[in-house]
Amino acid sequence: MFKSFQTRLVLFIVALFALVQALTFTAVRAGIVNNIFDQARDQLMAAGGILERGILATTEDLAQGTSILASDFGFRQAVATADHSTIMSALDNLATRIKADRIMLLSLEGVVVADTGSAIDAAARGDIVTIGQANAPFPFVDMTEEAEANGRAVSIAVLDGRIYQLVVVPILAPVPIAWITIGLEIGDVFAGEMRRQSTVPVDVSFGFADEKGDWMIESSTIATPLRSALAAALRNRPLTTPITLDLGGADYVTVVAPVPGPQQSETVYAILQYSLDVALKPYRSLFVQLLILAGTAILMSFIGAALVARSIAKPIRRLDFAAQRIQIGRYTEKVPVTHDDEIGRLSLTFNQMMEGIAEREEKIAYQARHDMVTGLPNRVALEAHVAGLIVNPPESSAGLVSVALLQVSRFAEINNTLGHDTGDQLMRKISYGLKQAVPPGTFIARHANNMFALSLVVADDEQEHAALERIVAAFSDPVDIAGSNIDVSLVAGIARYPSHGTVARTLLQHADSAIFAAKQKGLAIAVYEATADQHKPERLSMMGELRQGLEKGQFKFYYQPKVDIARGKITAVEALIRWMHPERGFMPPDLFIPLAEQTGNIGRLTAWALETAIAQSRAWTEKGIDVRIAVNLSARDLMNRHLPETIANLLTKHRVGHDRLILEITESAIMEDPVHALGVLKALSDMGMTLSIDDYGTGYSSLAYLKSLPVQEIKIDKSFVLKLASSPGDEILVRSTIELGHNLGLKVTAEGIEDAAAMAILDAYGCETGQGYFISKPLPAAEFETFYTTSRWSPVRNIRADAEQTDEAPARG
Amino acid sequence: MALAVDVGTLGASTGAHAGSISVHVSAGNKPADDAAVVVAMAKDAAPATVNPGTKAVMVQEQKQFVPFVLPVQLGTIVEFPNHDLFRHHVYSFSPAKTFELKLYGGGESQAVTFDKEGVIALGCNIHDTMLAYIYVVGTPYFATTKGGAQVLANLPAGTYTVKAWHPDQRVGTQTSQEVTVTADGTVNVDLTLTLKQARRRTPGAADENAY
Repeated sequence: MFKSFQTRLVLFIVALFALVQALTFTAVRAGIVNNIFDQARDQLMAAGGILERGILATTEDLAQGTSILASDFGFRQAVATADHSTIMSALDNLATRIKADRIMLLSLEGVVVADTGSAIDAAARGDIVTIGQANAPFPFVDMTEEAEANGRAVSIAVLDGRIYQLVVVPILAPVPIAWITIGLEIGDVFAGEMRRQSTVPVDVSFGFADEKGDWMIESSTIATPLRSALAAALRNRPLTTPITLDLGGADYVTVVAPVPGPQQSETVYAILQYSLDVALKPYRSLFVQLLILAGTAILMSFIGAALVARSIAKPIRRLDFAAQRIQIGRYTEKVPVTHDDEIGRLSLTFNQMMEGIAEREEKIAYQARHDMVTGLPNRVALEAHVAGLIVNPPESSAGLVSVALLQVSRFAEINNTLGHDTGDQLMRKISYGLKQAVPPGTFIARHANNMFALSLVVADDEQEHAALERIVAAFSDPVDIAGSNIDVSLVAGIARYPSHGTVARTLLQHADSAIFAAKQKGLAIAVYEATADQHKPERLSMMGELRQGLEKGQFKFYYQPKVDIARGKITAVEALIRWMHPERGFMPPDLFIPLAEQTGNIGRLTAWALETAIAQSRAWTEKGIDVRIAVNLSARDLMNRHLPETIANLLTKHRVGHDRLILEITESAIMEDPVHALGVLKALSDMGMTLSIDDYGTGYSSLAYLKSLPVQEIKIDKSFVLKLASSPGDEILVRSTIELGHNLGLKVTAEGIEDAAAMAILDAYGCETGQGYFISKPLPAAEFETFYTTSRWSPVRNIRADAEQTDEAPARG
Repeated sequence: MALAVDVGTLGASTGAHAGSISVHVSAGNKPADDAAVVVAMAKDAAPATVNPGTKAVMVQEQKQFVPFVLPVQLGTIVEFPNHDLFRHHVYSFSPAKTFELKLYGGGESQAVTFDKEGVIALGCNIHDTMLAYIYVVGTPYFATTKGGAQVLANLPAGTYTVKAWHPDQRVGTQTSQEVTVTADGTVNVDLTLTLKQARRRTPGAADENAY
């Protein structure tokens, strides 16, 4: 019920208005009634005054008459002679003459001598008047005393339960010889006469209360049935203030005033009443008019409220509809702003809100389909786009859909070492470069963190290949990010519809596989080949073969000597893994190590490597070959918390000293998870092993950062050393790296030494250790043993080595 | 004036060896007015009557009885001369003497003999304001007071009951005192009256001044 706001508003306003009207009407009516009451009271008071004068006048008349009669000589003579029967007949005569209702003769002492009693009717009939209660004292002593003082007394008093107008006068002969008391009973006629003297139509009653408090109404102008009601209404009522009495269903303003009388009598009251109904009669039409006015006002308020409510509710409904539209995602229809009020402002805000929601939704939708860093579509968008192309290929491509993924090499490392801001900037630069390089109509997306995707519109494979070559070539130069040059290399993998897949996701997976293939082959661009797919069963079987190979001894270490440059003596070897596959032949580590890392087989490989290297160390020690063996650890190995313990166990098992082992770790391996890596490195370092940063210079770690690692050595990457003698830039780089390393307390190893000149330079710079083909290629263990004892770097062929070193000296300058 | 002569006459007639009573009458802490009458009655003596033919006068003049109070001895004839130009109708319903002198004109006079002790209230039937009292006593020793005092003289030695009377005295408040009078001696008697507030129906206030 009343669910509508409009209905409730209307009801509220109308109810409020009706209440106000009712209150007003009540107040006006109460005011008028009060006023009438006051008027009536005043009129009653005035009437009371008139009444008093009226009573006085009548009693005066009575007193006059009585006095005259009392001085009638014959009467006086009769009284003086005390002839009782004469007295009675004289009283009778007197009663008839002045129409008295009761006459009493009192002795001077106040004893009733003769009394006609109250049998007025008997007197009227001419019967002999009976003697009343003679010899009883006259009750109203006040009156006789007053008569004695003033010659007469008049009063209204209650005698034998009736109200009389009483007059007491002396009978003078010529001095008072007796008192005569004449009583006129106050009846309805008297009340009627009193009313006639009033200017307003008041009702007059006379009454008194007996000792029990019951009222007797003896004289009244009101109808007989109402008298008992009046008597009942007056019972136990305070009489001092005007009151309103309900008699027979009508209200009467009532003033009750005591009539002066002798103290010995019950007090007689004059009861003056004024009917409120009568008084209100002139106002009745006013009340009707007020009611009509109130009714009209309420009707008007209803109409007004309905209009106002509609004017409020209508725009609210509009807002309601607008909100529903927003709910279902329709933001185009605006709420009309019709008024410059709260509703108008709300509508305006509503519209702004709608725009805001639309904007944000658009943004969210955009974000859901775009990469926030580059602003390019993301993988979701890419897949949708490719799916769209599959369904509806562009005409120019003749039904061919070509998807290329471009992986940014070493992006994770760049992020970790130079920070994500730099990484993001790099990606933005690359995305910008891509946009420049791609053929028109190419859809560019960021497929993954380090990967872009292109959906090419090309007519054939040739066009596609040419485009990709151009793109890859575009990033041959280092990219400048905030003043530092970053080498970027892209590797592209291509998958084509329909030959490489019929679903967008499959095409992307296959393009990813193609990237892997390209990296394995050292190519910049590769097209998907089902046979090379690492996810294919062939790859899985290779991992199986790897495990078998480990068991069957297909893996071997080749040892490349490391020479103390200053002394020209072999001090250590780097153990390099070789897999002699029975069918595929020599397998380069680049081919199977990443695969082993990905498939979780690296642990087996590492375990083999450590066991083999440590066992070899023991064997060589026993043969008197004093070299330390360096073993490469992969990033995964650094995640293994048990690695230090494993190594310690192996060293103990083979009784090899901790200092005999050098562990080489690449920068990127540490950067993959620096926290875990650091823990493992610290444990290893604490055990007394030498830790060496491999391939130093290819990553982005600063020397300062390396200083915080528990490492003792850096290995300058061979790419800097290979052309050391011919490239001044590399020379400066190497020299400064060596100096910085030394300054930080690190030893420096240079690998990739290919000629004597490089060796000499490194010696001049104070590089501690050298490694490279100039010294020796990696050798099987047996061959190394020969090399150790026979070569010019042999620490056991002292004289010759010294001689050669002397020969070489001038070339170093 | 006439009264004073009477008293003098009465006192003189008793001869030698006579004493006197000096009476002071007060009413309400003041000397009583001149309407008061003092009377001395010899103890155990029978009521004394005047010589037949002794007269006194109660005049009707300007609708007034004059004097207001007329004390007389038993047996006195009181004349009622009408000095007004209109008629009066003198009456009394008093038990001591009930009589009625029906209307008689100015210049006329009627006489009534008072042969019974007591107070006679006089009225005129046609003039309600007219009122006077005749006080009939059975002793020759009486007089109205003057300024609340009077001397009863020429009393033979003996025991007397002295009382004072006033027309306005309250019923039952009669006061008297018994005194012994010696020859040539004067006895002082003080009497007190209790008066009521009498309401005289008089046209003027000249009543008392009229004596």
